[in-house]
Amino acid sequence: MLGSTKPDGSVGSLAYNSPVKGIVVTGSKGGTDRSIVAGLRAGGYVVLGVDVVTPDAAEVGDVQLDFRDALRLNDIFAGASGIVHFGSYPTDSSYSATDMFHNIVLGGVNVLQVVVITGVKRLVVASSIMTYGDLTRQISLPITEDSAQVPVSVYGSSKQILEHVAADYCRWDGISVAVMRMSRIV
Amino acid sequence: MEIEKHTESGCLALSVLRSYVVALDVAGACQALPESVSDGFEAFNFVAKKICIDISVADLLQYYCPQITNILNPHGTHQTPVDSSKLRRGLGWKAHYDWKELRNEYQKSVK
Repeated sequence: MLGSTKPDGSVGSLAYNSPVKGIVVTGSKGGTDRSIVAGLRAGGYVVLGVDVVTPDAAEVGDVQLDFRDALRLNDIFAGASGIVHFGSYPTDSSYSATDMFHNIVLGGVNVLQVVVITGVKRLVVASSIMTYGDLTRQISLPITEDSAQVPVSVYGSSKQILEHVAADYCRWDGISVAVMRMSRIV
Repeated sequence: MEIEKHTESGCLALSVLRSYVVALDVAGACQALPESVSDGFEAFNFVAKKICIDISVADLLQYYCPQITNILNPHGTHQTPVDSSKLRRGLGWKAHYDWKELRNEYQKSVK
């Protein structure tokens, strides 16, 4: 069962037929995430979109939620086979450093914690090549996944911290996390 | 459009060496990832191969970053110095979209 929004705004559940897999996508109303939701649905997944922005009338079953709200996340993640966590402020947004950190790190830790509690096995997390910092200060190229991560912004630093915590959760609780260090998305 | 300003030449070029990735290509990888990820923690770089400028990467690096002498693999003239081969090897993923096509579509749409 995947959580969904009932007409009265409360979180309910949306049945999906086994063996079709249910995926929750956070940040589902962002430009990238709309493509991800559409692509996953085209691939046969039952997808529940979660975003801080209220869903349109056509986005039946999607949920408005700040993922720093762990209690509601718990209802929504229960029964999902995987989570795609792309919900965060973008790098060029004008939020304060404190808001950026709270959004990325605290929101991300909530997602990790609820993944563990609800028994979801697989999590995909959007990170950033901004975790590598200033490319021109690298001592060797190309930049691989093993290159030094020396972020030069709160955005990059927050993504790097979330990666570290995700790796710890994998060790502690046996979950699987794939982190995607993406460049600018167009 | 975002891609438009990244195709400008000059000093802006260095900041875009990190390249870009197209949202639809991200969606393609996300279809494969939930099923394919191995146990534990894995990180993947995820960028399109081609940089979105018309200047050679080697020329840019030589001019702006002469201190970087340890370049392990010779780059294609317009390929990003961020290596996404792990994602391609692991998931069989490849980019299906190209910035020049996106730019051309955009330019057509605003005419």
